[in-house]
Amino acid sequence: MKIAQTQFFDDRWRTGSIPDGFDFQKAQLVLAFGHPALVTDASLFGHIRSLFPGAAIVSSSTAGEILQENVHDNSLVVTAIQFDKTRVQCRVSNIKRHSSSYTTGVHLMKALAEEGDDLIAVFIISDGTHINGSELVSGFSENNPKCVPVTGGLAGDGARFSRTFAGLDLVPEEGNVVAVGFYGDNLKIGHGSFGGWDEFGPERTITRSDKNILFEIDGKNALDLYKEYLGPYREELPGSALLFPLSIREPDSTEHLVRTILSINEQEKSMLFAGNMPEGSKIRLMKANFDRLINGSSTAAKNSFGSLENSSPELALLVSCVGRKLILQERTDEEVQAVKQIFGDHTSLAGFYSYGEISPFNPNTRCELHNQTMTITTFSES
Amino acid sequence: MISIRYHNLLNKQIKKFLTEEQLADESIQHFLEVVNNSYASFERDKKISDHAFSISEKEYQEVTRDLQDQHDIQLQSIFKLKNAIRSLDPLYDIHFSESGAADMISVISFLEEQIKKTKALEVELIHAKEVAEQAAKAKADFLSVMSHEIRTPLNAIIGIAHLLSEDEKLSAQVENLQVLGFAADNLFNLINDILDFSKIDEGKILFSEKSIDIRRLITRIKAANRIRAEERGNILKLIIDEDLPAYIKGDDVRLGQVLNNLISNAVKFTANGTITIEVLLHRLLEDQVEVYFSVTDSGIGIEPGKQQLIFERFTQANAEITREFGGSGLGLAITKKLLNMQHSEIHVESEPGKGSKFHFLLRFKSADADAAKSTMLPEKGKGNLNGIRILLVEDVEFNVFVAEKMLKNWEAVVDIADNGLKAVEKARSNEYDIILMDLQMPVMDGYTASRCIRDQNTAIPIIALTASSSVDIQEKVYDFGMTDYLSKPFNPDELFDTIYKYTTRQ
Repeated sequence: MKIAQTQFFDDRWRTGSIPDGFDFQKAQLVLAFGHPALVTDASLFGHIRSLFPGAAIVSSSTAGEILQENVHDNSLVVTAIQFDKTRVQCRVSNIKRHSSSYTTGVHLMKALAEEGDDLIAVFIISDGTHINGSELVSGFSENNPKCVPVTGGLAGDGARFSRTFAGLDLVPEEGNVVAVGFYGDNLKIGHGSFGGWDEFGPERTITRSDKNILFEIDGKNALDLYKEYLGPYREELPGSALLFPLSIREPDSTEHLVRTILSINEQEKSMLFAGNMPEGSKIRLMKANFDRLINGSSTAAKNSFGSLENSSPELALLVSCVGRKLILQERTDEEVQAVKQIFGDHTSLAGFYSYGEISPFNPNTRCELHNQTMTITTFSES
Repeated sequence: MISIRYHNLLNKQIKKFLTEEQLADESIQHFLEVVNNSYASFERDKKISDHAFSISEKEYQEVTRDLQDQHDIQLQSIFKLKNAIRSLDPLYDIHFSESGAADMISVISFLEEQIKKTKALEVELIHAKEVAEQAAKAKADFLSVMSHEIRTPLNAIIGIAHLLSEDEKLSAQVENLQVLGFAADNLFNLINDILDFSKIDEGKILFSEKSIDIRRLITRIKAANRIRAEERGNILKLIIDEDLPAYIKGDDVRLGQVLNNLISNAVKFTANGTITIEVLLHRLLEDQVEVYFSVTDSGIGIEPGKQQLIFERFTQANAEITREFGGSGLGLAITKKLLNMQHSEIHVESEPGKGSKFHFLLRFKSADADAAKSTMLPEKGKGNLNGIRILLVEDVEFNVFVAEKMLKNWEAVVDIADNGLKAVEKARSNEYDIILMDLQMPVMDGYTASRCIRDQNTAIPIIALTASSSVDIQEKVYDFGMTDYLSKPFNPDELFDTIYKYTTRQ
C-alpha cells in the first residue's frame, strides 16, 4: 500500500508527500475532505480527476480537515491510496431515490456484497443533514452476516449545520451516501471509537420523541431544560448545546451512546439530534473536560490497532466530532497529535470533523452511529 | 504597552514578569495570544461548568427532598400497618423493631402469611361446598329414583283398589277397600310431593294452557276431600262467584294440586269445624281473568311467629304436629313455589285456636267458547269406549293387568305388546285406533318404536306412558313423534279422557 497526500488552501495546491514508487495512474481510491465551498468546486475536482485518472474519488464536506498531526479549516485534503493486492469497489446513492435512510443503507450494503464474497470492510461517507444516521447504519447492518467492520462518518458544514455534501467520481451533492467496499484477505482493518465525556446530573427518561426529534424529558420540555443548563450561553443555541451532549441508553440495551444536538425549533420547543432518541430511553447530561477529550482520542487510537497488535498501521482515517472541535477550539490540534503519538511517524493520518461517526462498539458487533467521539479506522496491507 | 484584550490574570502576569522590550517581540506576542485564548477557554468552560453544576445541585436537592418525603410517607404507612397488625394479632409484635423502616419486610411477611391462610381457607371452603353440593345432589337423586321405583308398584295397588271398588263386594270389604284406597292415595301424594319438589328445585316445571271448566274442577276437588272432612266432623262449604266465566285457560293439574293441598291441610288441622272454599272473580282484564281463591278453616290456627315458617320445606308449625297429623312437610312449600312461578303470592291470616285463612290471586287467560266446547267430555262409564281398538305397549306385568282391566271395563278392544319391536310389528300388520306406549322397555324402547311407527303411519295417535313428567321427557316425547303423554300411575279419569279425546275426533 502506498499513500500520497496533498492539500489545497489559501487558493493554491500545496506540495504533498509522494512516496517512492507511487504511481498516480494506479491509485485505486482518492479521499477528498474539504470545506463545503472547496469540495464542491468543479475546477478543484477537475484537478483531482486529472491527477488520478483511474481512481474512485470519494468526496465529503467537513467541519474541519485532518492532515497528519494538524487540523485545518477552509482547506481541501486529498489522500490517494494505491493498494498492492486489495480490490476496491464504490457505490453511491441518493436519499431521494429511497423511501428512507434505512433502505438507502440496505441497498448500498447489498450492492457491495454482490461484488464479491471477500468483502472485508466498508467505509461510509454520507450526507450529514438529510440522512438519519441511526437508520442508515441499521440499514447497513441488516445484511452483514459476517459482521465485516462498517465505519465512516457524516459530512459536515463547519459549525453552520446547514448544507453537507458527499460524492463519488462527481462534484459532491446533498443527500448522497457513498459506500467504499474493500475486498481481499491482504488488508488488515482496525477500528476504535472513544469520547472521553463525563456524565453528570440525575438520570432522566425520554417521555416524548419522534425518531431523532426530542420533545420531553421526564414529562418536561427538553429545550427548557437545556436553556436552564446553558444559563448565559442559551443565546448561542444550538451551537452552545454541543457543550452538553446526552448519554443515551435505549430500552433493553446496556450500551451508552452519545447524542448531540443539530438544531432547535423554538415554535415546537423541540430539538433535533444527530441520531434517534427512542421514548423510554434513559439519558444523562454530559460535560466536557479538555484533557479527558484529548485522552479519549488516545484511547480510540490504542483501540484501533485491531489484529496488527503492536505494529503501526499504514493509514489511519480519523473521523472526529464537530462538537469536540467547538469545545477544544485552538487546542483541537492536540487530540490529533495525541493520535499521531500513539501511531508514530510511519502512519499516514487523514480525516475530518463530522456530524456523526460510524463504527462498531467492539470488533464483530454491529456498527452504531456515534456523536462526540474520535473514531479511527486503520488500514495495513500485507 | 499591555493590550487590554488579554485576560485579566494574564495582564497581571505580563506586568509582573515581562519587560516592554520583550513585549515588543513578535514571537512573544504570538505566544501571549495563544496563552490568552487558553485562559479565555478555561474561563468560559469554568463558567459553564459552575452554572451547570449549580443547576444540577438544585436538581439533586429536589430529588433528595422528594426521597425524604417518600421516606416519611413510607414510615407513616409502616407505622399504621404495624398498628393494624398489632390489633389483629398482638403476638406478631415481636417481629417488629422500634425504629420502623426495616419493618416493611415483617409487614410483608405478615401479609403473605395472611394471604396464604386465606387461600388455604378458600380452598377448604370450596372443597366443603363441593362436597355439600354432591351430598345434596346424591340425596335428591336418591329421593327421585326411590320415588319412581315406589310409584310403579303403587300404580298397581291404586289400580286394583279402583277395580275392586267397581266389582261386586261384601259390605265388610267396603271399609277395607276405602282404607286401602286412602292409604295408597296418601302414599301417592307423598311421593308426588317429593318428585314435584325436586322438579321445582331443578326448574323443570312447565305450566300447560288447557281450557278448564273451573266450576267442575273445584267441585271435583271438594268432592275428593269430602270423605276425609266428614270423618273429622268437618263441614265443607264452597262459594263460587256467579260472574266467573265458565271456562278459563290454565294448568288444571297444578291448580288442582294447590287447592287440594290447602283444603287437605285445612281438613287435617280442623276437627268438628267448617272449611270454606271461596272462588271469586277479582277482575276481568282484556284477555285475562284474575281469580281470588281462599280456603278458610276454624281449626287450630298458627302462631304469628310461625306463619311464614310453614312455607319453608320440611317445616311444620312444630314437631308435635308432624307426629299427630303426618305429612311430608313439603305441601305448602310446593304450593308457594307453584304460585310464585305463576307470579302469584300466597297469603295467610291466622289466630291460634280460631282458625286460618289462606288466599291468593291467580291470573288465567280467557278461554274462547269453541276451545272450551271441544274439551267437553262425556261422563265415563261402561261401554263408552265400545269397539275402540287399542294397542297397549307395556312390559311390566301388573301395569298391563291394571290397564287392560280398566280398558276392557270401558269395552275397548285391547291388544298387548311387551316391547317396542313387537309394537312396531303389530302396528304394521293390524289396525288400531290408538297406541298407548310405555317408554322404558327391553329390546326396543318407546321412543324408537314410536319413530318407526310414525315412518309408516302419520295419523295414529300415540300416547306416551311415563313415570316422569319432567320437561325434558315431555319435549323428547313430542320430538319422537308421539301425540301426547300420560303420567303413571294414571288416573282412570285422565286415561279415559285422553283416549276418548283422540279417538272420537272425526
